[in-house]
Amino acid sequence: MTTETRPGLQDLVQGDRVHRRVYVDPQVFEEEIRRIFKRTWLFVGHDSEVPHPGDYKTDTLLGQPIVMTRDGNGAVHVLFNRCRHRGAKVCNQPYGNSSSFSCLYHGWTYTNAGDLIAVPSRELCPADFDPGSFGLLPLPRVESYRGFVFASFAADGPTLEEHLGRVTVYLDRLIDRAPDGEVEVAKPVMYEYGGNWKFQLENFVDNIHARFTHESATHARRTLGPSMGPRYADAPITDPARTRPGNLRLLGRGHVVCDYGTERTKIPFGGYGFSGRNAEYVRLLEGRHGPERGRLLADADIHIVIYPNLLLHTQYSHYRVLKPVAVDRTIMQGYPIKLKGAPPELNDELVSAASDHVSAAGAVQIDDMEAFSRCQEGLAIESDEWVLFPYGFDGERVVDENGEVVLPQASELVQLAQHEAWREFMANE
Amino acid sequence: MVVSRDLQHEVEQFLFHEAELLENRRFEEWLELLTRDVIYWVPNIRDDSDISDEAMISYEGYDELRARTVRLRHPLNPTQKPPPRTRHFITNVSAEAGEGGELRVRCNLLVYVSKDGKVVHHPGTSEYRLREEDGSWRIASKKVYLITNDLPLTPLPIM
Ligand code: FES
Ligand SMILES: [Fe+2]
Repeated sequence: MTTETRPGLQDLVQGDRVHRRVYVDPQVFEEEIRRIFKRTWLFVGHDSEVPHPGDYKTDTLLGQPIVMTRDGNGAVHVLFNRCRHRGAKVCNQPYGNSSSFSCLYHGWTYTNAGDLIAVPSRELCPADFDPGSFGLLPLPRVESYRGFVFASFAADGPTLEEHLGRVTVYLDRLIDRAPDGEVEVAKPVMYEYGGNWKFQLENFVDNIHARFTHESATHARRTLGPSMGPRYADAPITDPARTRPGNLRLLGRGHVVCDYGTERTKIPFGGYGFSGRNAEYVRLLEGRHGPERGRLLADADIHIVIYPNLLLHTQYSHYRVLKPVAVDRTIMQGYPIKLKGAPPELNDELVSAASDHVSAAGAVQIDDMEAFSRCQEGLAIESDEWVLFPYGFDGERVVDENGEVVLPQASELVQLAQHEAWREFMANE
Repeated sequence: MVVSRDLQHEVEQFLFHEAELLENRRFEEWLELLTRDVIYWVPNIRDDSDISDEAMISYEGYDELRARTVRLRHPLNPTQKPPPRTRHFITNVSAEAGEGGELRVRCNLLVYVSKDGKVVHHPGTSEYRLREEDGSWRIASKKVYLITNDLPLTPLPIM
């Protein structure tokens, strides 16, 4: 690691601008993995991906194989998927159900809680060899919030509760949209783009780009939408000239929320607020939460960024898990969110709408991916060093009674808040 | 039940014609090949996809496909500047009689997509239901199983 970048890391974010190296320098990327991703909490999966005892899914976290299991007692584990003998990845199926995992190489066998229960030809090992100390390694810390399972590579640091802070208020809103008070996820689509991981986080709460980047999709909806099914009903495009307050909220530690209120869901042909569309669903929510909150939940239209690797979206009901692969390569998994207890036809519609929104062959995200790879290409230019975030920089920022910073909807202070969190993580060796 | 040699030939010509329309961006003419109740489905991850339990790469009816056409034609669509170039290679065509006079057609497919100096390819299998309407075959459903569907997908801004 060169000495050149280390002292300068914090100076890469300055006021309303960010240095291009934040997006293109492989050494900065390495430091990000070490100082951000390996220190903080990372989202790993949802309870509903392993609903029954013995269920598991395999995945990678920062390129390292993991397996998330539910043991016979119903407890969820997040384990490194690596044989303690000579290192083979133990479980090679994307998901399944099994009470144990046997290594393909020499047959060491582990329970789904990670305990090593069989070592073939053990008599050939020294007498004091103790299988009890060679279970599959768990991630150093694993905690969950209402079914959302997070893990940390760091043994110490803020608790998950401290890490999430006020973001749980909005996560609650997303989860409480399920009449049974729990969400479950469908299997994901995956996409990858040739750009830095931060582009996706910036974009998820970017209220300025849509009428340029997504104009073709908007045009299709505008011209065909009213005659088409609800899947193609979408909100009218956000007007960047409007500065209606109360939309963007900075929640600390890089977490941000865009709360569109119910405005986008009150359009003639529906949107994915449901008060106008699925009366049965609204009745269920009102029954559980009362008319006011019930309707608020039914119409909730929020984007949530849980820094650094989870993005959630109520309207096209899904969340995305971000995987930084290289400074210029990012993989995303998009999981449709289903609302437990909601009418089945509504959940089918949500899965379909989420797919359409987030698939790399779909209608919306595909445009953003184009923007990400073009930014990556443009930032190869060395003589223009700074990336600018001027919109709203001088605008109002109100701190509300809960300590949330409230911004107007067209403000790049929301992206700068992510970079500020970045700077704080990176300042810490 | 295997179809006659003439019908086999007709089906193959139909598939080649479809590919040619897509490759030459004759999207509106391609829409004409579809029944109004068409389902165009590209499942994801597994081959036995369940639309309730799995995100889909694509799951579209006639209206959505028409909207896709409008998007691809729009002068401000950022994914179409320049438009990707595609070639469809179709082999192993088999056809058999389906229900209600429909044909069940299966073929292997290899799609190459070239865009911005990169080429991606997607091998797979297509399953069609063809229905006769006004004297010509129309696509009542098309399901494409890509064997690459468990990999992260790069943008596919095509029909
Ligand atoms: S590497 Fe797993 S048993 Fe030897
Ligand atoms: Fe976008």
